[in-house]
Amino acid sequence: MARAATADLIALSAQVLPIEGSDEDLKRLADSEALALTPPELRAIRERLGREPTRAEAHAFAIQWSEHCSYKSSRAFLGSLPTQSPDVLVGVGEDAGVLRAGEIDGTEYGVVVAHESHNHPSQVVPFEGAATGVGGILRDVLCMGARVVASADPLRFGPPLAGSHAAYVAAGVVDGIAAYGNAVGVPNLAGDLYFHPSFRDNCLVNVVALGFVQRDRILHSRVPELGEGYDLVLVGKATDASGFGGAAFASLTLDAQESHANKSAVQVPDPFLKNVIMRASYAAFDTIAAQGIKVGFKDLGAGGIMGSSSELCAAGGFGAEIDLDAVPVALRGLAPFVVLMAETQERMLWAVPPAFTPQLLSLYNERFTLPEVAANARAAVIGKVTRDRQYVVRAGGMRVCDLPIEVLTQPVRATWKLGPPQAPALAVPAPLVTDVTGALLAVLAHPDVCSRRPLIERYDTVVRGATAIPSGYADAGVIVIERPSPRAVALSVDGNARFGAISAKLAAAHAVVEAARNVAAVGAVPIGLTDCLNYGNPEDPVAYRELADGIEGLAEAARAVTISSDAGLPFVSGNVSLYNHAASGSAIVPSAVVACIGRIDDVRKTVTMQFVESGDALYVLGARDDRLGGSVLAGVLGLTPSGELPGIDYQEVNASLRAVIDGIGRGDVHAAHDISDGGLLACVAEMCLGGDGVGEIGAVLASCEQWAPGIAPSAALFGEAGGFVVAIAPDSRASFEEAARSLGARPIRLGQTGGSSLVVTGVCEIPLGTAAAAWMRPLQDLFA
Amino acid sequence: MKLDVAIEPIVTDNTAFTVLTALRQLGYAELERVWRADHLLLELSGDGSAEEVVARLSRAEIVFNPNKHRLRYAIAGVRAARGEMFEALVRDRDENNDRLVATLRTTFGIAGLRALERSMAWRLDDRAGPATMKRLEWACQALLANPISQTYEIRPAPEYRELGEPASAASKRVR
Repeated sequence: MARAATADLIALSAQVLPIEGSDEDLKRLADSEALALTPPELRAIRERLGREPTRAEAHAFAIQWSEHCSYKSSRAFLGSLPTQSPDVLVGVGEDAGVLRAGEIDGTEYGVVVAHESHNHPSQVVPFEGAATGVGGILRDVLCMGARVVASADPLRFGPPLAGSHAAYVAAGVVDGIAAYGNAVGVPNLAGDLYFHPSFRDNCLVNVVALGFVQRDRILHSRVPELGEGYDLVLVGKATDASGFGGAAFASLTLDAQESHANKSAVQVPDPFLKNVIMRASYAAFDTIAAQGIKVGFKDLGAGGIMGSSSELCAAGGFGAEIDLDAVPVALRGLAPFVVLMAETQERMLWAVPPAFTPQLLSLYNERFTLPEVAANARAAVIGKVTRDRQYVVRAGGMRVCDLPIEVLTQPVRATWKLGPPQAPALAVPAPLVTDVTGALLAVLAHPDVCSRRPLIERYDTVVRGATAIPSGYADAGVIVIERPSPRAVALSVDGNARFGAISAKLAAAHAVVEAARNVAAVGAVPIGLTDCLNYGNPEDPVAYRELADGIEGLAEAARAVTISSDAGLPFVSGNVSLYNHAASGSAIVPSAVVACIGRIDDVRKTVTMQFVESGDALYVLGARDDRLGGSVLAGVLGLTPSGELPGIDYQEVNASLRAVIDGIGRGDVHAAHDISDGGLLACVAEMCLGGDGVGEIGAVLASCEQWAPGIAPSAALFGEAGGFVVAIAPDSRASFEEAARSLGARPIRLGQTGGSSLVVTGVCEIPLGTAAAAWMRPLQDLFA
Repeated sequence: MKLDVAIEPIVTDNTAFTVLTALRQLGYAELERVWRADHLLLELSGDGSAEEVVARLSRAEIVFNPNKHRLRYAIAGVRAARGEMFEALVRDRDENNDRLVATLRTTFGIAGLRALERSMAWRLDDRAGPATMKRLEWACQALLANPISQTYEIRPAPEYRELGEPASAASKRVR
């Protein structure tokens, strides 16, 4: 059970740190104490407390005021994002957001969604970093009272050259995701993958998770009203030193020379324990619902016990008293401030009425035998909810923290110098491509376009038996809520790294629109978004401008996509990851990664991207565009990388979204795919090949002049202006065209399905086997 | 020259705990500790010293990450092994390390590497001290080695040492 720390370690935690002297003195203090705090922040702590902090308090502030926890650099901009719509059941501010998923047998269900990053840990220890990223996001969803049903992983790496560090990181990350997700029994439903030199020193490992919960059983990340005197019950793995300083670490600039010293900030995953904890928690949810008990529930992430307990209690308007001697620990000799703030994985915190506590302890410790699953894992009462709004932590009878809880949890802000607007991109004429076959094969083999099958095959995509469309077969994954009901949810993640290199704002806007298109392409109505804002060092004016521009782009696009609500698409959860900036000076390209949730009333009507019938009519929705900036073709041909990006016509976007969703609902659409990486011709090639690359139905497209008049053929075929290609049943052509036009969409006939090649009349004829060979091969060595 | 290399986790080893619990439940009630490491047996040609090879190996992130591992080595067959302590090496039957050998040779500069065998090394301690050979044999048959896909070998445990650590220090250190 819990083991008391030695008197020396307790005294160390309670020791007062002198906040005095010059900036240089305070920097030395911060360095010697491993506190990620600036001199002004150290002085602000003294001012807010009216005294100097103890060592434990100083570390608590360092974590709570880290970029990861406080959003101090991004908070000023995040307010511009839309967050409300009739579909929002729980908005931003809790562990995860909840959107209306639909009614089944008179019971309303919510889809719970959370989005996080684990970028820095994954760069240092790829396997553990990625695995604990998945573990953390699952807890966020679980803590809303939900069954965790799916995860997704947007990934960004440096170019995957054989034997390179980037390839090692990529392989380790995918191993970690697979090892955790497969063992914990949650299917991987979606993901995206980009390679860019800027990710060589800072990979991006974003994680998204979904859960389902009955609306009347949603739990909240706060102590409920009348919660005074509630027990605080810590559940999970025994606390060790792993992850101590993790949140502060996540907010530091990565330096290869320093990575060795970051060892203690690495968290250790245990998916098998998590699996048991999840099942035990489900049983607790059932009991709580049956008995009508009001509780609070929160995962332990950044700042460990301190972060979770202070936020859980402060959000309910309460204080807390924590007894560190009651915390189950994994090893002797841990200083109390380490026990308080270590980020040991697989832990959660309940606030429950004392009368319910014995039942809860028995459930975890006896019925689900946590102590037998992992060393000293268990549920244990570690404190009380108090009325006085003080946050008090004791160890060995000594107070190591005693401060007003709001002082610790209230937001802080950091404002940095904003750089000038990004220079406008260059207008670059579309090139003449004489060898379209060669260009298409090169585009299909490009790491940003080629088949993700070697990666997806590492993941269990169907465990739980609820996956209707697994990852890789369509633009979004689809999962049913509760069989035999046909209600389902679609999930897509997007964010074009090449676009980010050119315009932070337009790339972010494209990410929103593409994510919405992707869920629409299976027949789902987009109802909400999450984001992960991955940028460089905000103290650099250029990176700070990119962050501001990126959020502006997200807000503009989300408000403009009014497919499900006049208010646009709400963001219900999200994360900001800054300081993706190596000491060498290289920052990542601005990377706003967006996840979109779509609602499906009847999963039987969904479609994938693969052609299913010869003779179907092919249409393109979305005007083609001469601008090739950020396109894969530009990279393949070695064109200037900073050419203008295609624009976005939101009126057309809304009309096309509705036309495709309605068309799929009526059964007119046999296959649909959004036009993105690689452009229209790569899009059609992927529709021929299907998710497994074994499709046998080809396509014959009319000459470019017929469906993209006035546009250079290279831009028509390879330009990445967004849109859809849809395959329409022959007898539905008229109804599809008429309905689409009535919505304001402009479907243009592209050709038809059939044959065993991809043909562009007068331009090229590529056997499907040739296209498949180019598309399937490139990632096999990396992820095999 | 042949080199035994043990790459040990320095972060919590969940697998070792699971094995500890499982072996106790299978009847080895006095078991107190399970140690586990990735084991590499490197067969080398040429004049390079063991220290040079280990230094290069410690930069090969495909097998070793200093943030989560400690790398120790022993020259196989040179030092007398401590007879009282045994180690089980569990190896996949279909193991093929050709690509790993090629990468270590070309990318990480271990030019004299001729062959490599990879296995999982296990040591068990019970209340009386290191487990006997018979106990390890039983543990391999009961849990540690899947007879369908793996083979195992039990041998006197080598005295591994870290790079730069004198052999005498390694022999004195309690593992």
